[in-house]
Amino acid sequence: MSRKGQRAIEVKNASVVYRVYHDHRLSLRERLTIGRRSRRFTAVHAVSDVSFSVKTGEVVGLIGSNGSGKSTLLSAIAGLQPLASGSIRVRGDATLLGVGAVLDAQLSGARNVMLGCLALGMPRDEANRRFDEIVDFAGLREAIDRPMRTYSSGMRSRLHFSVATSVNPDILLIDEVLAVGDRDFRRRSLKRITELQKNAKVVVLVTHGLHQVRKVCSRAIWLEQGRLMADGLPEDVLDQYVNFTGGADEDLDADD
Amino acid sequence: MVNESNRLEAPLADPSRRRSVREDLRRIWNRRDFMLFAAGSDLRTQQMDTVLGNVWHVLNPLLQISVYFIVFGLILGTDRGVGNFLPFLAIGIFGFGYMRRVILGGAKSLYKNRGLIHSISAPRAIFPIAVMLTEAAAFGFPFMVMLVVAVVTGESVSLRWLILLPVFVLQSMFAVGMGFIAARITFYFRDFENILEFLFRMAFYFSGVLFLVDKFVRNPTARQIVDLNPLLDYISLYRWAVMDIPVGSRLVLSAIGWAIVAPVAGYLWFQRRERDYGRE
Repeated sequence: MSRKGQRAIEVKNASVVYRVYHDHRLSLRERLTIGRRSRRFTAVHAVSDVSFSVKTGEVVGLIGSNGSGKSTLLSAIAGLQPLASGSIRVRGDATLLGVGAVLDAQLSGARNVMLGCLALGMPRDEANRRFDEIVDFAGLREAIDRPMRTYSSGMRSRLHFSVATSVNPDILLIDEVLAVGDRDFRRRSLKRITELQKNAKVVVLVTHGLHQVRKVCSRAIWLEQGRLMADGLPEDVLDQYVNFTGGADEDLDADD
Repeated sequence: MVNESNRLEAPLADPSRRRSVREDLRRIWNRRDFMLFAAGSDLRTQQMDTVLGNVWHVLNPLLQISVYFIVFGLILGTDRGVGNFLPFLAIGIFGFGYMRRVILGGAKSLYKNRGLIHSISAPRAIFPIAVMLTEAAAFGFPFMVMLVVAVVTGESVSLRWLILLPVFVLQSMFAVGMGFIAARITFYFRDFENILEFLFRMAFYFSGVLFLVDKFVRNPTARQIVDLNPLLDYISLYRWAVMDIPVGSRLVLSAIGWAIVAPVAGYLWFQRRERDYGRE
């Protein structure tokens, strides 16, 4: 078990640049007729010069408007997104939970639970032993033998979250998964995040549920157009964010 | 719980770094339960939507040899020089089909498992390996058909049958190695899947699946080259075991050589780009 307060994620001047192509991939015929002219694209600076570090035992809420670079930053921390400049370093393995992520849609939920656990490196007997607990946490007892393609996005996310948190990941990166779960599940998952925090793990949570950030995060980071706008205690950062986005709106923010 | 990175001592490291081969192999070994389980699941779903289900695993190979037997044995008469054409054909078709499926499956494996690859930090080599295990398990059915056909048509059970298993292991090693290579190429160049299909179709007719190469290739230099064709090597060894069709020592060495070089070189080449495979 690691100590609390040890540096677990270190992001230094990280920038991610996407190329967004205006046209589809050129076919051979087009390449021959248009000649060597390359495809037109716009460079999108999804993340620009962002620096911060996260210590073990922290739960960080990553907030910002749509397209502000939150998800991109998360996949860069997971090692799935190359950086244009800067560096990211992490301690241990990062697990990324995204909406709609499916292991194998043809297989039953039960088989997906097993596949997920085993792919995370859990031994077979342990996966068998903990199977019921994982299924119950996801609240999928009835649906577990159905193929996963028949699941709603909420059900998929619940299963995925339940599997990913069952192995006690060093670093858990959650991309809006909680938003699609129902109220009851959200309550349970927030509780589990708090448990991870107690075990000196790190959770980074991308969310639009500001209430969740207040409730469960020890820190908030606000990104806007790829730039880091604020980093600090949730109440301070949220205040700035709410002002920026046009003032508080009780109906919107009281999401659960 | 498998502790892959001793957390207290684990240093801060670039999450997209290329891991050392040693570390990667250890992580692959830790996922052995995953690979076996994935293979079992795949086998189960392959025929899930059909009425006959697993019967197809036996029916398919039977129907396949019937077609080839009628076309090449009865109509075209390519069976010259082969005493017992039916088991000869069965071994050729199934032995070839196994390699084809492992390599094509390997080519598709990164794309097929992108859901897992995008969310879980697991070594990517487990996917082509899982394909090989799936196909190896599925090969059990045609393997039985092959032996039954051989016995029914007059081949006798012999001690040489014992060599079948080691040959199968060598063949699997070769195939998974090529699967790694196919996976890396297909990841960057999806068209390769189609090209590969074509290459196999061509190789099917040139690798002595349907005819005894000895009767067609008489030039000694050409003969030496033919012996080095891995696709044919394993099939020839099966035929030697079941039908006592002689093979030369060069062919045996070639079969062993490919089974070592292909997986080592294939894995190393595949692993060099490991960190790319999670990207869109």
